[in-house]
Amino acid sequence: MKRAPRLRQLLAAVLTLLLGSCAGSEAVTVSDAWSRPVPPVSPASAVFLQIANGTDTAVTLTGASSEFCGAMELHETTMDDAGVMAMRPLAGGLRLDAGESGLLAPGGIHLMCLEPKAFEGSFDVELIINGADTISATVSIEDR
Amino acid sequence: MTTRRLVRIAIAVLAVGVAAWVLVGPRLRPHVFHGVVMQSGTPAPAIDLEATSGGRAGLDSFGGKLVVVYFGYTHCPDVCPTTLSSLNKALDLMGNGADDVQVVMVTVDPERDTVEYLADYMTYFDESFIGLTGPIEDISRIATAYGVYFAADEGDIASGYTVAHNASLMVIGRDGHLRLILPPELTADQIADDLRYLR
Repeated sequence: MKRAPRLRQLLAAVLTLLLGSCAGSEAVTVSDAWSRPVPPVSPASAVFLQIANGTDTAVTLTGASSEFCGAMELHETTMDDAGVMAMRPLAGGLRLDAGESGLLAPGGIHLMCLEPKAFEGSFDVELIINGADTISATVSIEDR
Repeated sequence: MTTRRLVRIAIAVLAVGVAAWVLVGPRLRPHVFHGVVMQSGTPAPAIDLEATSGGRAGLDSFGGKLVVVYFGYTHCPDVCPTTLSSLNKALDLMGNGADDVQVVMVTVDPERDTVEYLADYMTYFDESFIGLTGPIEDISRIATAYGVYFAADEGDIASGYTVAHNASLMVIGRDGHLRLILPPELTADQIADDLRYLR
C-alpha cells in the first residue's frame, strides 16, 4: 500500500522529464509579428517580429516570402554618430544560437516587404530558416 | 485661538499651497526640451520647391506656422513611415494646437518621388502633411544648408537602391529661424511636448 504513492511520484517525475525534454526540443518560434500601416501607393513596408530558437543548435533567419509582398529581404537600419540612417541587406542573415531570441524592431533589423499588397488587417509570411526550412507567421498590420 | 482652530488654519494653508504648486508650478518651471535647441541669429535656409499642396512652397508659405522639416523618401520602409506616424500622433496629442504646425517632407529621392506620388503618400499619414520635391541639385543645396547629409546607396537590394539620410526633424520657428532639431528616436509625446512649447 505504501508503494503506490512512490510509484505515482516516480511516474510524475518521468512524465515531467519527458514533457520538459519535448518543450526543450521545440523548433524556432515566431511571435508578435507586426507591420506599420503604409499608404497603398507605398513601394515598401517593414515587418517586425520576435523570433526564438528553441532548438539545441544554432539557426539563421535568412529571408522570407509572402504572396502579399512582391519580394522580401532581411535588412538592417543603422545610424552613425552624425545621425545618418542607412539601410542595407543583413549579410549572412540573423544567426541565433541555441536557446537565443532575436528581435526585429523599428530602427534595427526588419524584413522589407517590397510592393506590399496588404494594407490593413493581417497577412501571412513564410520565414526562411537556414536557407531551406520555413516557418509560417501571421503579420498584424497596426500603428504602434 | 484654540489648538483645533490653529490646526484647521494650517491644513487650509497647506491645501492652498499644494493646489498652487500643482496648478501654477509647471508653468513656472522652465521647459526642458527633448530636442536640441538651436539659437540661430539668421533665418533658416530658404526652401523653394514644388509642393504637393500645389505650386511652389517655401518656409514663408505656411502662414507663420511652426514648420517641421523632414528629409526622407517613400521607398524607405522603416524610419520614414515611423517618423511620419510619430508626427501624426504628436499633432493628435496637440489638439487644436496642431493648427499652428506644418509638417513638410523634402524628398531625398526626387527621381522616384514625383509630386503626385508624394501627395498620396504624405496625406495618408496626415491630411495636412506636405511633400516637397524638385531637381536633385536644388534638394542637395537645401539639405546641405540644413546640415543634412544624404546619398544613394546602390547596394544589392530588391528595391533598386536605398538612400542613406540624416533622419532628424528641423523645427523652424514662427520667426523663420531654426529653433530645434528633433532626433529620430523621440516619441510622439516628446515631439508634442516640444512643439506645444514653441508654437
